[in-house]
Amino acid sequence: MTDPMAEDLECRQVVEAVTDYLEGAMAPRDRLRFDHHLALCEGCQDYLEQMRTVIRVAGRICSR
Amino acid sequence: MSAPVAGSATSADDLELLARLRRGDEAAFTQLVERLHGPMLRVAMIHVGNRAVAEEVAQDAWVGVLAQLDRFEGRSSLRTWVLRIVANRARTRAVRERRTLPFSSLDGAAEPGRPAVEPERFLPAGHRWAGHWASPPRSWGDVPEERLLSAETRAEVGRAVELLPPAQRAVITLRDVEGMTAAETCELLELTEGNQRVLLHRARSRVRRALERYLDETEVAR
Repeated sequence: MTDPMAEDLECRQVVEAVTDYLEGAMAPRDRLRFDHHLALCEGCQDYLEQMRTVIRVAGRICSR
Repeated sequence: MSAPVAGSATSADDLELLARLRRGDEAAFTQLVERLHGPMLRVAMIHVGNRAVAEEVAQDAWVGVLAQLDRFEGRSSLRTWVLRIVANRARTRAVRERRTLPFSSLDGAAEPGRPAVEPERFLPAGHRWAGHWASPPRSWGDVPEERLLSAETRAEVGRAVELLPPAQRAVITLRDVEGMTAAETCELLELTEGNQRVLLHRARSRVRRALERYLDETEVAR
């Protein structure tokens, strides 16, 4: 296998890998595949953004 | 962009507060209580699961904090150090009351989790784009900030956190609600990094679903 992008990620896999991605816990090669998918997939971009929103709102649960 | 991450190194503010605490400054103590009593209760609750007992543990931990102030070495934030004392006391208390830890291995990351997103939102096998979105999430970029951070939305997210299985609830509470680092969370909950991440993933995914449902429903109702 020469092209690291040869196996494209499916959105279904992206939503399960999103925490590893946000936590910086991905191998460089997997991160590359993830970024590659993200660049082309609006649905997954929105999903990632939603996750960031969840984190942000959770951080405000206890504030007034 | 994001709030400062709690719990890294000792900040200048911490050092100043610490100096006052060591001098026996009562106002400094009051300030510390105001800042940390809520987080302390939440950490205690994770272990003892009962509000009244959590209050006792927190009270008891304050005595410990004061007694051990001289031993604080400044290798973590004051907050992390205090919460570590609380976690230790809460664990001891939970064991004494023979209450099994809510996040024992039985409840951990070992069992297979539910998918982060309902499978029917992806195109089925056999489709040319199998595994890709059939019903993609909508952007929340157009949801006004005051709505996202409104008391109602925050309460909804709080409820979703409450409804999580204990181990997931514990991890998301420390990480996202209290803003602790992964390392601190692992330490306080005695979890491996990998398990911590799995539990965080499940927790965030479920909370996202709940928030999506809430935003969609209230959008329609408008």
